[in-house]
Amino acid sequence: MSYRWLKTEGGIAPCPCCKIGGRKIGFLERTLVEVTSFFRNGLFSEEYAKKNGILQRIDPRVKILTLGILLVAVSLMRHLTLIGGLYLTVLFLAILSKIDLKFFLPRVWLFIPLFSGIIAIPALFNVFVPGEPLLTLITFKSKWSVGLFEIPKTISITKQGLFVATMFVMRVATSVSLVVLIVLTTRWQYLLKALRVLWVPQMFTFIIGMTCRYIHLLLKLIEDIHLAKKSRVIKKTSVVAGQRWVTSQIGNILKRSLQMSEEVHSAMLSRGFTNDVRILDTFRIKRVDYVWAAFFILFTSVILGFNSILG
Amino acid sequence: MHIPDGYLGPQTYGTFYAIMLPIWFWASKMLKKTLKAKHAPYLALCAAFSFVIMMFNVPIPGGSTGHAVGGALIAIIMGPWAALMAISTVLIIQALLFGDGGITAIAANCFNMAFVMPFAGYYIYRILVSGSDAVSPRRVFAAAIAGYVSINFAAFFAAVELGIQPLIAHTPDGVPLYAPYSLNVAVPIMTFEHLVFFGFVEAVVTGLVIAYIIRTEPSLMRGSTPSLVPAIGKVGGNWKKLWAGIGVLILLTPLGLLASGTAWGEWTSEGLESLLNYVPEGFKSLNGLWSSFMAGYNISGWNSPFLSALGYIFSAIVGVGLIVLIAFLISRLLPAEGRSS
Repeated sequence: MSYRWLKTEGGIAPCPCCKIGGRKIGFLERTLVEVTSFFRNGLFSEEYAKKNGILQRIDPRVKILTLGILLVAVSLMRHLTLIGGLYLTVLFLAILSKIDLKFFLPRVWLFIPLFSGIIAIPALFNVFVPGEPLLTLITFKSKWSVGLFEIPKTISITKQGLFVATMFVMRVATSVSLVVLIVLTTRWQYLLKALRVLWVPQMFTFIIGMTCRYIHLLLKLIEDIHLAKKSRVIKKTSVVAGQRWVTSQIGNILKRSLQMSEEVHSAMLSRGFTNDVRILDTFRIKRVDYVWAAFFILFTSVILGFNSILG
Repeated sequence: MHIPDGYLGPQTYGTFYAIMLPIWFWASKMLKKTLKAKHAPYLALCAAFSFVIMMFNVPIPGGSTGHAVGGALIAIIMGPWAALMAISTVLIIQALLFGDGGITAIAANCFNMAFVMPFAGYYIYRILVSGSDAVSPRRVFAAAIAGYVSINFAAFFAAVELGIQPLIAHTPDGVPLYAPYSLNVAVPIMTFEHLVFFGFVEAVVTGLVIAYIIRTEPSLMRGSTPSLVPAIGKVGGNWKKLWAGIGVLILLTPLGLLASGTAWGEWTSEGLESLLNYVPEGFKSLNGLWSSFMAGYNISGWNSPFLSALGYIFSAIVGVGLIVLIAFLISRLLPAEGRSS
């Protein structure tokens, strides 16, 4: 489905709950934009998962386990150079997995300046991270305080602040790149199945899978409701009327979901569901997986070793 | 409020995994027992609803829009345990498939948004509606207040988790390694935006959706949905085990006497002076504000090792008794169906 007017607004944000809609587009359009961007940008697209790259060839369980350990290793790093090295490794893996960097880099870096970047900027200054000044910006007559904060006499960018901000942004970027890499190179039903390797119970992965399917269904419903409403609107409605309409639709979807759960349950029972979930296991560990795992254990140990030697 | 990867250090996210694993285990066991074969489709649909609720943009005075998280709303309709599992499922899907919130931070995010928020919202709602009719207008206001308070609770916890990072993880010269702002920055900023903005969006959505349900499908308010709020004692039949466990813990309390030093953060001003060589001003003024009738968990005069061990056990019994009494009084305040279903 494509409505050209919906594609003009981007729906990129790290977290939908942190977004305050500042731009003056109506609530109907905003919801439609977000729903459309979900279908368009959602990581369900399996274009890259079908390519014949290195990570696509690795067994999903081995991949999740090894890259998951790497994610934890990223969180343990205390040195900028090591995090930088890990970031380059992730980029190298992306190239080996035939992922277009023109797609991969913006996917990660577009939201980092929007969210973590903004968070990191104040940390540059001695107001938040005191330390050796690198560049003095303003000098006041004396220091003063605002509530809990104390504003020092001179405001400057500090060496320590620069370290904190760079370290923070690089750590977030490397972690996000790793997660995006796992998701892009794995078909999502394999991803869910492979979660079992992390001791996630079968029933839970089954519920996650079902949830994903019904999210699509409910979102299609929401899209239809909003398009129908939009096609009938001829003037701006009041805020209160708008709120009443939106909340009644949420209530409506809630009622439908509960009703649907009963129907789905009946349908499952009629097909012989006994509350015992068994997911067909078709994964096979191949030689390439052993090679990958061996290489990976060595690599992570070396990185962690450097991290502890450097202190 | 979704904390991404890289914001929390391993000490913090590891602790939250340790906290959430037994909670998830307990919740799924309980739901499996109450819902039987129905629980898979029910939780899947509840989770799908929890996901899509964030897609609804609500108009706000001034021409902008915002959206609710829905923790309190879902807990009010489906019960806090189903809400816990449904929202956790959504947070896992968001982290795995959409990159919303980090993988390492899943447990911390689940603690804030799937545990604190629905439970706070649910119990605030139950206390406020106690004794009212299932379709009384008081329920709408109670739901709105529950929505407002619960999102602020969740935001506060998230802010504390981020704010403690510079304290617990830094380089030898004190430079923070993870989220860079300390509590005095993280808490005011996070709570301010939720107190003045997101809280009201949550209140409007929670209140008006409940109003709509009361208008159109009042049976949902009377608890016709599968009962998801089983009393703890009934589900596992584990009261005896619980009491036995508490009994063992009470008997073990004198073990503390073997340890040297004081519990971390429980220093007296003398102890602090010996550690730091000075006593902070604020500490000095507040010290001695309250003196307990069983100071140091001991009874004055019971100084021999045996008697002081007995004193510890006696203190533990008194403490547990007081907590049970308070819990009993709170449970009396809750409406009847919350206690018996």
